Formats: sequence, structure tokens, C-alpha cells
Amino acid sequence: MTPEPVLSLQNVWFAYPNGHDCVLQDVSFDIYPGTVNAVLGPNGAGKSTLLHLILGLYVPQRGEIRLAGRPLRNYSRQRLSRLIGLVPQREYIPFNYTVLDYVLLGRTPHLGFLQMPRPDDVRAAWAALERLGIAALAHRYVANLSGGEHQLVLIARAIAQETPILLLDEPTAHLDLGNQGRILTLLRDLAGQGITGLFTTHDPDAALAIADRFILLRGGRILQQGSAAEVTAESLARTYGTALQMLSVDGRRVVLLEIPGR
Amino acid sequence: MTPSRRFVLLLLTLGMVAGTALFVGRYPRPVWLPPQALREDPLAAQLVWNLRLPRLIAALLLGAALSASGFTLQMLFRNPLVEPGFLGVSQGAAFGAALSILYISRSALGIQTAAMLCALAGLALTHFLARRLRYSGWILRMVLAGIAVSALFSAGIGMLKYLADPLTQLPEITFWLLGGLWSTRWQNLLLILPLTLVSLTVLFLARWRLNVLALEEETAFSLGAAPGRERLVLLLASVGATSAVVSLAGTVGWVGLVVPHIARQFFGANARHALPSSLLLGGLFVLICDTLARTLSSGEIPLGILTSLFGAAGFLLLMVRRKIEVER
Repeated sequence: MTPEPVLSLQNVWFAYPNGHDCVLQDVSFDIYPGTVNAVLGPNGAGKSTLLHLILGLYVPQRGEIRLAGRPLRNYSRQRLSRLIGLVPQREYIPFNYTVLDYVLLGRTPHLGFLQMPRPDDVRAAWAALERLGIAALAHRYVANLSGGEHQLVLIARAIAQETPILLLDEPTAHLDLGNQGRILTLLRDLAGQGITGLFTTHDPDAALAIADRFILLRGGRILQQGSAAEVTAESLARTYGTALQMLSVDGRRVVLLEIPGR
Repeated sequence: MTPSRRFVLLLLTLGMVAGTALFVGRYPRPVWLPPQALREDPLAAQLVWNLRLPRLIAALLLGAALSASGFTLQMLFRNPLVEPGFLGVSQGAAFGAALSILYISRSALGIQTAAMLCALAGLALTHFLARRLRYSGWILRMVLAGIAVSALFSAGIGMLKYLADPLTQLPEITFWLLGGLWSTRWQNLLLILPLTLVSLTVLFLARWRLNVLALEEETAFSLGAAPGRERLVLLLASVGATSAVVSLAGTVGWVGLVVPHIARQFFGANARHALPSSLLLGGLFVLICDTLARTLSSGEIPLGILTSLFGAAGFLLLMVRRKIEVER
């Protein structure tokens, strides 16, 4: 018996108010609890828009998004922010926050409208930092962090939010190999602790390394979706519009670009 | 030193300066009025309780409101170079006041209402223009649009000055443009008190929320905020506080830009501590400037001149020492 999907999209169509083309067309998929899900696709495929729709930032023109079986629009803003956390791509802030203050902002959904963070919230922020092994950064300024540290801090803020679902927008983009490995391992660990992850990426190898399920997007449509085993060289080649091979190394699959003449 | 200790220190300094300022002035002779004169000299008592005290409160409110609005606007627009004057708000208020003096009403209530409406119109126009501009990033567009809107209002003020009666209306308009608190009495202070206090209370209470609203749109949303609606409320509170105090004091520049930067230097970027300290620092700064304005010379130096002088100098110092970081 398969469990109930925690999140499901049913025939979702979406176009931006001032745009002409549909950014997403007839997108349907289910996300199950405790799984890692990768949304792959070339630039402009609609990956970020998909995350924004799931956040409730935009409302689809047609189709429905359901969260734990209930339509997304039935949730209040605060309730939603206790269920779905977002890890944006590198975030620019013009003011020099300390890492601890910045992570503490993740507690906002648990506070009343005018409430200040309580000692419990500060503890939750510290716990999130410790969970990612970056407690030493707590009193550093966010602006002075390296790319990898910054990404970890953004994830820590989402962890402090204590949501069962995490959306991550290109979590490994612009990171060196060491930090990519750290972030991917972390996502896998979080899934092991029951936190459902949905991340977008340009990098099929990152997705193949940790994802349980794949959603391949191209031009706003789903080309293919399924378990990791169902992803083939052919489907990836169609998604990205380039020739590639898939190799198996020690039981894990990796993607090799074909470069003519090499 | 922890932020709360610094805050207490700031509060004590403010109390001491305010207590001293009450006895500083040019009566009966510069610079000090001995406290026992309050009992012995009825004129001195009159002066202190009915002129200096309301003026002192007005200076504190003026500084607090300008700094808190500047701080809030900087966070809402995610732009550390914003201040009420940069967004067409101050010039709009001055235009509204001049318009009211000439054609509508010369009562304090009329001037205040016109100033506030035009301040809001200035902000709306700036915002609208910035959205329509096709040039560079949001921060620069906002500043450019603000300069253009301020210039438009300045031109309007020039026109009104040209049309004004040089004996009655023109001096009133000129007072607006230089800024000063010499006309402060209890009754016109009480008139601006409700709007100023309500607006400042809103800003003070919502300071944690302000941190969230300074994040990028999608993040603020994902943390449960309704960025559009909440930004509007805080924007209105900032403009409300600004236009209320400006309707009493005229255009007093640079306070709203510089004081928030100084507050962040000492209390960090988190609005939880930086906003209240901005309030106090702003009050302290304007109180010192105003005390100097009425004490330094036998005539009165317009307050706006002193705040611009010290504010601009302080800002340059911060820039040179690379304490202000601006990207984009």
C-alpha cells in the first residue's frame, strides 16, 4: 500500500499575469513523505515557477495543488509557512545581519504577528546551526560568508522553521565539490528523518546521487517522471537537448556529455 | 557590551542631555539658566515650561520620527541610501504646506493635513515612476525617481513662493524650507502628538516583522508574511510619522539617512535593537542640534542647516571609513 502523497499537483497550468506564454502546462505529480525529489530541466523550463506555485506565491490558472489532501488555498499564510520551508538561491540582504539573527528569522511562522523571538526560538536556531555543523559561524556576519557557508546558513534558517516539507532552489549551484557533497548528504539525512525535500537543479549527477524521484521539465511540460531507475540517457538527452551517455560506476549512474571530436 | 547595556547607556545619556538642555539658552544670559531661577524669576519659569519644554519634546519627537522612518524605509526598500527626503516625501510635504498657506488654510491643522497628503502623493509618485523606469536595478531606480519627484515638487514650491504675498505668506513658506522649531508651543505640539505617537508605536511594535520584510519577496512570503500588505502598513506609518513632525518643523534633512546607519553601527542590523536605538539616537541628535540652534547666536540658526551640516559630515565619515556597504 502506498502512503498518501504529502503534496500533489493535478493538471496545473500557469502563466504570469503580464506574460503571454504558459510557463507551466498540464503539470501533475505526487510527492511522498520522507522522499527526496529532484526537478530537472534546462534554464527557463519553469522550475522556479513551480516552487513559487507550491509556496502559494502565485495561484495556478487551471488545476489544483493539494497539501496533505487539502487544497493549498484552504491554508492560511501562517499555517502554510509552518508546513513548507524555502531555501532560496543565494539571497542578497543589504544589511549586515549576524548568522544567528538571520537563522532566527526562520522562527517567524511560529511567532504571533508582533511577537519577538522567545528563548525557545533562540534554542531552535542554535539547534539548526548545530545540526548543520556551523554553530561556529553564529556570530559572523552573513555578508562575509563564503558561497558554501551562505548556502548552509540558508538551509539552517529553513531547518529552524521546522517544516515537514523543504523546497530548495538550485541548492548546489555555484558550490565547489566539497560543499555540493555536504549539501546533498544533508538532504539525504533530512529525508531519513522524515523531512520531504523537493529541489530544482541543473545538475543531473547531483539528482542521480540522492533523489528518489525525478521530474523532468522542458518548456513548462513534464517530459518524464518516475523513480531514479526509470531515468535514462535518452530522457535526459531530450530534456536538455544535447547528446549524452549514462555510465554505471559501482552501481551508481553518472552522466557523461558527448562532445563531438573528443 | 551587550546591546541592552548600550541601550540603557543611550537612554541615560538622552535623559541627561534633555535635563541639561532645558537650562541651556540665552536667558537671562548665555549659556546657563540656574535652576533656582525657576522659583525666583516668573519669566524664567514661563520660558522653561511653556517654550523650552514643548520645544524639547518636539525636538525629541522630530528626531525619533525622522530616524525611525528612515530606518523603516531603508529596510522596506532594501536600500541603505533611502531616507524620507529621497523619496519625494519631504519635498511633497513642503509643497503641500506651501499650497495650504497660499490657497487653503493657514491653520496648523490645514497645513498638517495638506503636508501629509502631498507627502503620500510624493511617495506614491516616486514608487510609480520607479516601476515604470527602464534602467538599472530597483534601488537606483527608486533613488532616481525620488530625485525627479523631489525636483518637481521643488519647482512647484518655487512657483508658489513667486505667487506668495511677500509680507505674510512668503516668510511662512521660507520657514518650511529651512526647518526649525522656534514656533513650537504646547498647542501645536499636541496637534501632531497623536499621529506621531501612533505611527511610532506601530513601527516599534512591528520591528521584528520589519526584518522579515527586508528579505527577498519569496522568502518573506515563505516565512508567512504578506509582504505587499504589511509593507504598505509600515510605509504608511513611516510617512505618517514623518509628515506629522515635518508639518511642525518644516524640512529637516539628513537625520533619517544618517542616524539609522549610526544605530546599526552600534546595535547591529537586526531591527529588534536597531530600530529602538534609532529612535533614541535620532531624538538625541536633533535635540543637540536644536539646542545649539537656539543658543549659538543671538538670532536663531535654522535647525535644518545644522542637521544637514552634521548629518552630511557624519555620512561622509561613514562612507570614507567604509561603514556603509552598498551593492548593486
